[in-house]
Amino acid sequence: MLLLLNLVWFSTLVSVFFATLAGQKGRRVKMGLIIWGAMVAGSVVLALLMAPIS
Amino acid sequence: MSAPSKGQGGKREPGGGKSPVRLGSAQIGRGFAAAAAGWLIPGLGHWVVGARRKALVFFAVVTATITTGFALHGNLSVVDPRTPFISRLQVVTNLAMGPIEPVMRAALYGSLVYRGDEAFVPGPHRQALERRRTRAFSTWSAFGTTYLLTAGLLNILLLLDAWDIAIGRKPKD
Repeated sequence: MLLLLNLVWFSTLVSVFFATLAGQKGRRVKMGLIIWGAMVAGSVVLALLMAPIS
Repeated sequence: MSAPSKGQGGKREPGGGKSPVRLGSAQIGRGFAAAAAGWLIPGLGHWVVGARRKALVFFAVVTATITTGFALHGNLSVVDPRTPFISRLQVVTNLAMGPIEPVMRAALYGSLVYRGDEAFVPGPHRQALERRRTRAFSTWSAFGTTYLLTAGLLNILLLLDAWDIAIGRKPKD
């Protein structure tokens, strides 16, 4: 559970940062959501791929 | 065919390339001032050049990243003689957080220890490295260390961005 919390929190910090740094005015929320979704989805997919086969 | 843009990144030449941008000493001074302010306090560089809303967001994000790393028992890096290049990069990344880094290092370890090979020499640095090793036993220490390194990397990007805004290469908003 704490691992997921870390994933969500870290992605939030990084996506807010990059959306503010590089996003065009008026499109920052959209860019932030895209970065956040890509980070969370990418991490979950990687975790599933690396999980031991049971 | 689109007309060549009149951006601030340099004039278009007939061949399609960009001519190098010549910066005046005033521009360079403003750039250094903004970058130095950004190093002192995360986001202050943007505040100085007038991007105040951005500055507040950056201050909040970098501070939250440092605080989380600290709370998760993250460690600050030392130069490891076995991996000198990578560990030096890590130390530089830590130092990019600003003056808070040596303050944190002294608070966490009791002295400003930057070299890992001092673990073999009796003295305050040896005790400091022992404290650092003990801290690494915490379950979330590796996560905390990642947060601390990330905070340094984010601040490096902020310094570069503040420089760009200060010299007029990038708009404030």
